[in-house]
Amino acid sequence: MKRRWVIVGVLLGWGLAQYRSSAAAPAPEKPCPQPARYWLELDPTRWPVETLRLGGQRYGAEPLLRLLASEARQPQAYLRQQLAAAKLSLASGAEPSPIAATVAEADQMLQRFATPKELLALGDALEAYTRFRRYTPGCR
Amino acid sequence: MTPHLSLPFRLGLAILILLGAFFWFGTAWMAYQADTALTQARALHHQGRADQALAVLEAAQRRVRGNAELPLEAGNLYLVRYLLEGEPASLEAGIAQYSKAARLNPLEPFYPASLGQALLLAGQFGQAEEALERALQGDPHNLEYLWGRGRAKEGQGDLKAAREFFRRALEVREDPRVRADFLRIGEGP
Repeated sequence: MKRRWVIVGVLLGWGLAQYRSSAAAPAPEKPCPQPARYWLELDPTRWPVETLRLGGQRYGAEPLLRLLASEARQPQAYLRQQLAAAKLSLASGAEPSPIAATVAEADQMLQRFATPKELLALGDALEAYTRFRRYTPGCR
Repeated sequence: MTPHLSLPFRLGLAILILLGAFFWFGTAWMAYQADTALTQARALHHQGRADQALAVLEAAQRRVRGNAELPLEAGNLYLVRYLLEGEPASLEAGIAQYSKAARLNPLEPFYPASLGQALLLAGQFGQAEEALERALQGDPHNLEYLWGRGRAKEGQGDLKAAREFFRRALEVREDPRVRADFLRIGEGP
């Protein structure tokens, strides 16, 4: 009689422990930011969005592909390219908090006068998010 | 040795155990629901279905009260929508969600910091500074909170204080985002 209760108790405890471990499992990590090259190589049908707004201008898949493929480090094109990669990463669920201010700033900078040095500095900040993943420690 | 317990004592003990189990199951069930909703929302967001992800999170917030991760995730979704589409209403909704997260878990500095960053984007610099100050109390050497506070000072026109916060942020470590802001406002005297 006593042994039966012990068995019931052990089984109940084991069941509860199993239930608790599955209930407390953390939600999966967010996707990591991805660089321009990644989005260039991925088929646009698999992008999280069909169009992107960069500096007040809307871009479809074709112009975005041209932008992402551009190798020239002309400051405005470079910033636009890095902004596209950052926005595609954000749209696919990458952590937004470390880069939100920089993305908003880049959007504004593309609509007003800025020196090449400023454009490049902001482009580098965006590239540090997408390519070097400096602000998302879990992704390095 | 078997302890002899009177019937009322045994009854009380049984009620206590039942109440404990009920509470424990309730808490575990809430955590399970919240994690399931976060998993679903992240998967939907990854597929570019942000509207559905938001619906999942809002439904989960009605069922599970007191979990700060759910409004934080919803705030992030609204923030991303704002960054992609530039709709001010999305930013307002994001701020409301971040405020809720910061209220639910006032001890974790990440929640007021997220609120502060969203308020900065909305141009509400005074409130942003308050939120970032709260975050800095919990984590005084956090580069992003110091940088955010600098941006709040800049928004209020206090460039000297802004430079000081940017300098403090760069003392934590070199960062291209802070450098870009430094370049924009000038290094000053």
